[in-house]
Amino acid sequence: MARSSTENMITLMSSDGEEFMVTEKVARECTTIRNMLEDDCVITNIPLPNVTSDILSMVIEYCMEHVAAAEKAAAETAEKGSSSAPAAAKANKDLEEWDKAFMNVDVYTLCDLILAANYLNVSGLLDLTIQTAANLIKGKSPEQIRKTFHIQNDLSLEEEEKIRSQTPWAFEKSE
Amino acid sequence: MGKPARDWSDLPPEILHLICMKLPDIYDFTVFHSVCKTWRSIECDPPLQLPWILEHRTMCDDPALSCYSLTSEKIHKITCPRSLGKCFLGPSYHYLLTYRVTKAGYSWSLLNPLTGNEVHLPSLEEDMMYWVEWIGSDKSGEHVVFSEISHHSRGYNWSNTIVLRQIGDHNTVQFPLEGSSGNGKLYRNEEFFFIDVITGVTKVMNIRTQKLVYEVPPIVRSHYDRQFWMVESGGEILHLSKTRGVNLDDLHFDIYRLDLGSGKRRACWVKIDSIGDQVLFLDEHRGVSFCASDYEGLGENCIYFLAKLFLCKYDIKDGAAKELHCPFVGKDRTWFTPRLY
Repeated sequence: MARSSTENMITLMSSDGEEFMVTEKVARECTTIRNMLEDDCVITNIPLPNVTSDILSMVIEYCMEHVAAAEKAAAETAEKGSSSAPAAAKANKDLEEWDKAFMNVDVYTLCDLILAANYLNVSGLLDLTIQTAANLIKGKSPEQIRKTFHIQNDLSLEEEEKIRSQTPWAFEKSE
Repeated sequence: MGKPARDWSDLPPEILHLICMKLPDIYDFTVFHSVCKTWRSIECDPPLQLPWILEHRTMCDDPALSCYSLTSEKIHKITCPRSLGKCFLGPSYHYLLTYRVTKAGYSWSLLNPLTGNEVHLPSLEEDMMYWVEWIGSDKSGEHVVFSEISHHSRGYNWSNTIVLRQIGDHNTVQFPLEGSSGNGKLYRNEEFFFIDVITGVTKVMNIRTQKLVYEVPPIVRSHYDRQFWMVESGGEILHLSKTRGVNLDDLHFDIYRLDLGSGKRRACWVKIDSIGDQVLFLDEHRGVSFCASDYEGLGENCIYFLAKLFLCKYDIKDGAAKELHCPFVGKDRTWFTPRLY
C-alpha cells in the first residue's frame, strides 16, 4: 500500500525477535501502543514480549484492514460531501465478511489472538475473538465444549455430581 | 514443532468473564460453568434471559421438555424428572402450571423445570371439572392467577371463575367473574383486567375486595371475531388485537394503551402506533414485554408472534411481518422465560 513519506513508521518487535514496520496510524489501533506513543512521542521501536510473530502479524493484518476501511469511508465522505447510506452499508458488510473470514482459525490461534488483543488492547479484535469463542460454546454440552477447546475435565466426582443433581439437563446436547 | 498448546482452561478470569457475558442464553451460561474448575469459578451474573419457545408436550411419561432458543437457534432438551406424569397448562412467570390426576382429584403445582423446584398448590373444590383458559402472574412471581371455566359435574352449570393463589402459603382466593370473559387478561397490583366478550367493555376487578373497580369503554363492540391480549409493557397497559385466523401477509395488530384518566375524565383506550423501545413476545394466550436495548440484536418496537401456524417478527412501524424458523409445529406452543432460581 502506498504511503506518503511524511507518515511515521513504527517498528514492533515480537517475542521471538521478528520486526514489523507499520505506520503509526496502524500501530495506534492498539490502545496499549497508542498510550506508549502519547507518553513518549519519539519512540519508534516497541518490543512486545508477550506476542509471537505469527500472532503479531495477524493482529497487524486486522489493524491494517480496519484502518484502510475507515480511510476509504472518510475519503468517500470528503469526495461527495456526505457518504451515501447504501455505500456505507455495503462497506460495513464487506468488513464484516472480512472479519468472519479472518476468524477462520483453529482454537489455539483463537486463544492466542484473544490474549494478544487483550494485551495490546485492540477493542474491535477483542470483541470479535470473544464473540467467536462464545459462538463455539453455544448449544454444546460440557463434553462437546471440552472436545472443541481441548480442555481436560478436572472437576471432582463430587462437583460433577452436584452439577448433575442441580441441573441434569446441562449435560444433554442441544439439537 | 508447532506453536505451544494454549490452554483454554488457563485463560485469565477477566477474559473468561468476557466470554461468559457473550452467552445470552441461560442454557449456555449453565453449561459454561460445568466445563472445568476454572470456568466453574468465573463469577458472572446470569444473562437477562429472553423467552424460549416451549413445545407442547403430549406425553406425560417423557421427563424431557423441548425448548427452542431464538438467541442461539438451538433446541434445548430440559430433563426434569419431577415433570413425569404431569400435564402442563402453561407458563406462569418462570414456573409451569401443572396438574396430575390422582385418586383424590386434581393435584396442582407450579414447577420450575430448570431447577426442579416445585410449589404445591392447594386443591380446588371437589366435584368440579376445570380447564384453565388463562394463566398469569404478577411481576414479583409471588402470585399466580388463573381464570378458568369450571363445570359442575352434577349440575351442568358453567361458570367462569378466577382463582388467585399465593405462592408460599396455602391461600386460595376464588370467585366468579362478573361478565363473560374471552381471551386477553392481565393481572397487576392486585387488579385483574379482562374484557367482557359480549359488550367489549374492559373490566377491572380488585382481587382482594372482589369488587369491580372501574370499567373502560369498548374499542370495538364485538370481540368474537378478534383475538386480543392485554400486556404490561414499559409501565403501560397495552391492548392488542388482530382479526382471527389470518395469514402472515394479512397480519395486522391494533394497539392501544390504557389512559387511566384523572378527575372527571374516565379511563379510556388510546390508539398508539409505537411501543417505543419495547419488544413483545406474544403467543395464542399471553404476552410479555422486554426492553429491546437490554438485548443485542433484538429489534425494538416489534412483536415476536407465535401463532398457531407460524412464528414471525412483526414490525409495528411498517406493519411488515417476517416469518422466522421454529422447529416446533402445531398449536399450544408457548413462550416461556426460564430462570435458574
